Amino acid sequence: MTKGFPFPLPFGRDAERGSALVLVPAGFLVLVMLAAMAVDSAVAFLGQRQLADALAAAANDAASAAIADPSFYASGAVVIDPVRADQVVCQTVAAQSDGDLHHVVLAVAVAGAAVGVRGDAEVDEVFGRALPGLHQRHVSALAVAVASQGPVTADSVALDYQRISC
Amino acid sequence: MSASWRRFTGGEAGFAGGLEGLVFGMLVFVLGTVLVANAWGVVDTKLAADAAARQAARTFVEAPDAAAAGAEARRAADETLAGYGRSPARAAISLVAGGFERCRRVTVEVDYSAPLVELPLVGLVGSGEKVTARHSEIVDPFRTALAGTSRCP
Repeated sequence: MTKGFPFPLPFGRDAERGSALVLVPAGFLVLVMLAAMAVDSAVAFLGQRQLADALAAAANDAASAAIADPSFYASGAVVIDPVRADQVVCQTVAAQSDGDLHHVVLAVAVAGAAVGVRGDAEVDEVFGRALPGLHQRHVSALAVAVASQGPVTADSVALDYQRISC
Repeated sequence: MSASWRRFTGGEAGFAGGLEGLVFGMLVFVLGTVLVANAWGVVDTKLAADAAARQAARTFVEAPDAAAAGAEARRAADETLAGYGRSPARAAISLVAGGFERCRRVTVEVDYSAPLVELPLVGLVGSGEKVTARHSEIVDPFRTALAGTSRCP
């Protein structure tokens, strides 16, 4: 007890009594921030799914609409035309109207009847954009389609991806 | 008030934070929770709408004929939304571009009003922002059951 004060000053454990009250808003703030991080992760997952869906549609479309007519009608051989594949991929990805995806970079690989599309994009965060350097997250996806009249596996197809500009 | 009585009741030592700290904490917690729950509801609805649009477009272009394409696409979208725990009755599913022809680009749009909040044990509450998802695919130029040539422009 300190002399000179009109009331007894606490010391020891008594000195910290009630201080937990100050930690309550800080604790709640941490909880809310963790929840915000969870939402931002869900937004990144959503963007990744959008990109994957767009690339799957692009690969599917390229595997059918980009089949080289001369070789198909001349000999029945199913071969993808790389130039048409690039065009179809660009058209399909643009047609998805995925406004949530930014700086989309596409790479297309064609090998015989197989076409692969690889994509990278940035997704805006909902809460993270308030923090410098954390306003966007990078997402990527890959899709492979093979034009065939029967069942095939794309695992054995070696693809060399070339970046395209739409 | 004697020192012994003050010690007995716990006193107010260390109460510098004040009661407003507790009120402010509750305010941060409640507002933050509602904000995060609302954002989560929108993101979750967008996921469901995206999946529904994709399934609808895919089903449309793979349909056996033009008569069945629209109905099958709608059913696929409804089943996808139901799988995500959403009511298909609250969704607006429309074919915004294309038709059942070789090489035609088909675009399906799904609109759904996201819930205001999604609460545990209570479920989806209220109606908030409208979420829109689109998916686009080409009808296979080499498929059967369609007239015309397979040449794409």
